[in-house]
Amino acid sequence: MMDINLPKMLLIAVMLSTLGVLVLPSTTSLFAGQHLWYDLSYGKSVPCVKCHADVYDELEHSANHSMVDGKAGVDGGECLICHRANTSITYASVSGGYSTATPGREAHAATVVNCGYCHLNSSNPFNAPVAGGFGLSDFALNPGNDTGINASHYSFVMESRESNLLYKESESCIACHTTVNITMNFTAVVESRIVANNTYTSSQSCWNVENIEAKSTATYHIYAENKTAKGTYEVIQ
Amino acid sequence: MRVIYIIPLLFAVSALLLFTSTNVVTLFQGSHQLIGISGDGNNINCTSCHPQIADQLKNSAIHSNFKCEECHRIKRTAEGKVISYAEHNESGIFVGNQSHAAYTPRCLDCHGGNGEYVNYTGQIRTAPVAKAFNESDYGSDYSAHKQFVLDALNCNLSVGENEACLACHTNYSVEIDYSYFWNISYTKSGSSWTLTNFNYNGTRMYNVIFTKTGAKHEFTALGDINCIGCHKNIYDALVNGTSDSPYNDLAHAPIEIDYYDSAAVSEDHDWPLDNYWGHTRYHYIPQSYRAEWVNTTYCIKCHNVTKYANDNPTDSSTYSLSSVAADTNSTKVHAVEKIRCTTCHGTGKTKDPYTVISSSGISGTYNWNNEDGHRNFMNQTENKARTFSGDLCMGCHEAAGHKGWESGNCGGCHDYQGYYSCGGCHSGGYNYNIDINIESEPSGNVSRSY
Repeated sequence: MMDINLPKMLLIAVMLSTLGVLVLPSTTSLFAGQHLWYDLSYGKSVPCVKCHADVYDELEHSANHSMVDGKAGVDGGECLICHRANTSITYASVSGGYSTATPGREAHAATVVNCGYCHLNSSNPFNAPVAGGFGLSDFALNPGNDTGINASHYSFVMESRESNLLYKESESCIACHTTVNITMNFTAVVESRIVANNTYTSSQSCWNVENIEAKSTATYHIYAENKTAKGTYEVIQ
Repeated sequence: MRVIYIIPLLFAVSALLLFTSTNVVTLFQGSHQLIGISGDGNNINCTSCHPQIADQLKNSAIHSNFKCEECHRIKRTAEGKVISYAEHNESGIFVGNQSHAAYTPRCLDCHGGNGEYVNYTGQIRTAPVAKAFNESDYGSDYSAHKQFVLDALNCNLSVGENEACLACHTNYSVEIDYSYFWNISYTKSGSSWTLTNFNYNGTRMYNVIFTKTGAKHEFTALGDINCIGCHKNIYDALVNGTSDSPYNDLAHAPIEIDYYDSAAVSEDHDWPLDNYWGHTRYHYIPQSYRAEWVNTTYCIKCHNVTKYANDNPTDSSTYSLSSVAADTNSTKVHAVEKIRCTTCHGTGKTKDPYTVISSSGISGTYNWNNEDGHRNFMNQTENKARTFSGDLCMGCHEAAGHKGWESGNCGGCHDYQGYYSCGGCHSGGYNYNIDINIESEPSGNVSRSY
């Protein structure tokens, strides 16, 4: 243990306190900057990136949506396109001077949005391509269009809608269309049990398969870390 | 390290983290970084989430050169079904119709119809058709597995009839519980060989466990499809049967003969190795090779004569198999045909034994001389259910149980090296009623009484 010279320590503390009183402001705000307000007039926005820097970085490297606001470069305006897209919601906004401010109703700054809000809606204002083939887009209302009857991932999307992790079907969308890491368990039937009965009389006979059912399964634990390359896996059961 | 240094260090690191870290993180890292899909082809790698399928295909004898999209983004099936997918390529953006990214195909989507399908690139490709099953209603009723395909269609385990395809054409494992009759009994009556007292009895439950890797995407080369994997009862009937002396009771086909072997088997009946047409017996396999040679090739010798003839031109020539094939319906089936012995040996068929057996046995008293009786019996087997027809013939044609020597009654004719063949007991001059009891596969146990 270092030897502590108490008189010297006290002297240093007193000197530092004195210096502090001399050079520091008399009163400090609890949080620096909390009285420096952002200008929100004429549609200007709070910089979402201030808190969501990780999203900013991802959008910068994203193949899509980095210009969703119609402007090159990621400046935070992109956030509003999706997260204030819901036209049924009144968000807080200032269209002109502050006298034109609209108080938010259902939401203040942003709402969580599902991918399908735009991509299952052919009249979306951003001309976003419709994700057909699940029977969920508004094309499904037109006979013969977007039936989704042959979609391998249909149940994934429908189950995703039931999940509370993300809004509606978004878990299934980001699983394939973004770089988000995925780990999942696939359980596949590897053996079926077939019951084959020979039925007969003296003069007639035939074979019938009474039943085919799953007998054994294998569960693959999948790691999908890069959507543009083969993943890895292990058989866990 | 002294505590006095550690505490300030922790404070410093914590402060640094607080300063440099993001205040709020998104729920899923990477969820705002989208993958471009505008390039030609599929930019989202299916094997990212399905790596095990990639490995299965790598080990597959067929389709290993296929991309996932070849099957799972087929645009028009061989049977004319059109599927549109969500697509973003150099030509533009296309909204999916029936499917977004992938479709779970029926095997017959490519292997049905005329085999012409439009693949994911829009090119017309031709797949080998699944003969017979590519026709309406899965072709003729002669295909032995047609009912399996029909029943698989009604099973929800796989799409369409795939469950049947997978069982034979992939490393998907199957367990099969068969149930069928235990035995039949009947009487060959008098010199006219009337088939009387026919009965079927009992139920045999036979369980087959055919364990493979279980991989549905490991496709088996056509030449490696293993009939006896599922039909082990037949294999056992041909190779093991029921232990007996001097020959085991082997059913299903006359794979064993009571051959001429000098003194090795004292009560033999000197069946010649050549058949009555003068060629090595078609169905016979010497015991030492039996376990190995009872395989898919042996199965198709009878159950797909056309294929066997094509694969074995020498045998085709020796046994006149092009004519035999014309007696069968083997050109109309997928893989194998439902047959009776009379399919090839019936009246008027290429291998009708009527003319060739007449001279069997010693000329004169012990000459067969009752080919009409034999034909009469064969014709009567056709009135019985097909499932019994083989055993009706094997009741006599099993080598096991020909114990005339031991009974003494037939010894005069059947003395070893006697070479009197069948005529001694079965000629027109002998009107014995023979009661026969034969068990189904795999036991094949046969007993005959006079």
